[in-house]
Amino acid sequence: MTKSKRLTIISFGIFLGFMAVCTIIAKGIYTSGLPQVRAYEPKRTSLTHEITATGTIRQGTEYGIYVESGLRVASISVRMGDVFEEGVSLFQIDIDDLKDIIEEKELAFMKLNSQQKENLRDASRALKEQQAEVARAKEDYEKNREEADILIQRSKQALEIAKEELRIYEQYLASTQESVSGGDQHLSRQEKLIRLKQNVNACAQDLEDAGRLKDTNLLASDRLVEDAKNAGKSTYSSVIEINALELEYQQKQIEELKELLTAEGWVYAAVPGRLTSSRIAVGERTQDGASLLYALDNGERIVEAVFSWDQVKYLSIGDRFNMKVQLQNGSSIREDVTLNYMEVRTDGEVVGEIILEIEEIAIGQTAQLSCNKQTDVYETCINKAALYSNQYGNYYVYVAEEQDGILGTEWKVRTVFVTILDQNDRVAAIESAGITVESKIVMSSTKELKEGDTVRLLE
Amino acid sequence: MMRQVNRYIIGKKCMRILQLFIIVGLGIFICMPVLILFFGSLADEIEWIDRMKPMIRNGLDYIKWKWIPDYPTLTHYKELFFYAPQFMTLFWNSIKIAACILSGQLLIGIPSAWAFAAYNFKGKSLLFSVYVILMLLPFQVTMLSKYLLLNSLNLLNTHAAVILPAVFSTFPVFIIYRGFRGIPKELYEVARIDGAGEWLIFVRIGLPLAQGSIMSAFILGFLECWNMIEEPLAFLKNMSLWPLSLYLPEIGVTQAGRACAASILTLVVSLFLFAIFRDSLEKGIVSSALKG
Repeated sequence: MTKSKRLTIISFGIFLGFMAVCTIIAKGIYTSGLPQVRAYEPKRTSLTHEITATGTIRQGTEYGIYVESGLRVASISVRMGDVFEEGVSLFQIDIDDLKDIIEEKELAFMKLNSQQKENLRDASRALKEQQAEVARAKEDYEKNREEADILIQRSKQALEIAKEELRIYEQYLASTQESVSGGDQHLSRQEKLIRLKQNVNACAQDLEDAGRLKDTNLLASDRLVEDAKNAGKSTYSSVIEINALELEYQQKQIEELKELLTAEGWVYAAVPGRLTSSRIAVGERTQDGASLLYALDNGERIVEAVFSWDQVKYLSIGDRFNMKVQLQNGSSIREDVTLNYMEVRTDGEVVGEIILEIEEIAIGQTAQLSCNKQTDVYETCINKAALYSNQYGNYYVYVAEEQDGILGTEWKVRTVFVTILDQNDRVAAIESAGITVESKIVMSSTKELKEGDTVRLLE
Repeated sequence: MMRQVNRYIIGKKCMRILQLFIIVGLGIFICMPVLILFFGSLADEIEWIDRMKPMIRNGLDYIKWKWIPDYPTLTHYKELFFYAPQFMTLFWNSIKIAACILSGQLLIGIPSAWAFAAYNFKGKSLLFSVYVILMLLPFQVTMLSKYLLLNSLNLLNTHAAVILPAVFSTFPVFIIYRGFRGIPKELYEVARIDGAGEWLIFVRIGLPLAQGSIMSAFILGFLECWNMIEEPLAFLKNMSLWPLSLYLPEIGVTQAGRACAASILTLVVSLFLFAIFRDSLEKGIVSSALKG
């Protein structure tokens, strides 16, 4: 073997050795560069939604303290949340201003009273005139009736006469019928008979017309009587009634204001309670409606909690919550309570209310509410850590799949877009045609993944 | 007279220089594919993309070619050596397949060729004719029958599916047979008279004297199995079993530089073996040609 050939063989051996070393290095670099992922199969399970919220204890039923509107407030003795006993002074009205208002009211009352008296006089005078008018109408009515009766009587008499003439002539014709057998004489008799019959018919028609005329005239007269009775009645009566009511109201107002004046402008609490809302301010005038709102100190309590829209999806009236309230003395109360009411406020917040019958809880305290809601069973549930979303808001997961390649069977990730059916803060129920119960859903990775990446699956 | 002699000498020298130019030119022309691969492997990806732009854009123009890259680099070799375990896997697959095939071919082919060359037995001519016919059949003709046979033996998608049919190839038998036939039969007679057994004659006389033919069969067999494409594609579904000859189709069009470097590295093993066995190959081919 020549030296050059030996050298060539040695070189070939070195080349193969170099390739072997490079193989190990390349595989080492390749595997160390692979993202290490942990993947799990989706589970068939139901989701538990833990709904938590912080509620504020507020009063149940509220009551109002009312004074006349338009009174100037001189001072306010209570603040929001203050507890007050029966008879405690709440706020004071400016007395001078109150006196002025009373004087104005009394003046207005007197004016209205005078007007009312004038109205009453006018009404009395109008009543007399109306009564005279009615009497006249009734008199006309009677006169019309009498005239109509006379006319009817005359028509009846005429009819009777015509009937009698006809009967007599018919008897006469019957008696002389045999002697008169024809000619002009017979013809004239028949004509006369017809004329008498026509006369009877005409009298009967006159009687009927007289009756109809009587009805028409009496109806018109009767209407005139009714019109006379109603004339002027509605105008005066309504005005007088309205004025009477107004006078009564003003009288009551004046009395109340005088009572307030007697109390030197002070408004006192009628029952013990806690002030919940104030709608007056010193120096300002009172408005319509309640000046102060208060709740009975030993009345019902309401826990008011704001829920997110995501939470609302799983809530319904009647759901049971576990409530924890930290009392001021350091102890705490745990109670199962029921959601009684939910409403969407104008600002878009959803507020739930729970009515309590626990007297130890003071208004203004906070309550921790929690409730677990179990959903139906979903076929494909994954950890939310495996869920990604793109810029268009579409959700997707990476699914590790075995693929044969030059380096043997390797795990490659595939992007599968999914639809989220339901989710809580840890688990999401998804739906996709590309995912089965045996799919390996990538939960975590040491590197950012993209479609088609080869990964190392950690069992 | 002297002038004529000088003119003759000058003319002869010019002729030789001309011949040298022609030969060198032809040599460069023949080596051009390899040179293109080599220089292409030194161009970086950006330069390759620039060269391939006309083809990638609309496919109506040709690739621009430069012999010497503007920015020569060994990046592709570095990537193949250190960042392409796929290449290494296929490289060792090829080494394994080639080694098994060549070992098998020599193990099966040498005794077969010896039997055909050294002994006379009934049906020898017919059997040898069958060998020759099988040698002439292209792969496409025998592919289906091989596939069915390998499938029945549950050997599909294993290296054995590629190795076994090649081990029983008739081509090396034919080449080595020619080498054994070149040994004078008197040598066997003399050896037998001297008391040598058949095994001793085969080992001491046959193998040394037919070494050239055996090496020829070895080299030609190596080149065939090193470059095989159809057999692995047909019988190996699992890519991890593929030989290196199937690595290039797996490289994308944007990795032309890496493809060139991979081709060069694929060529290296063949070059080494050719350098080692060149003498034996030449002798074997000559002996096969002259004495066959």
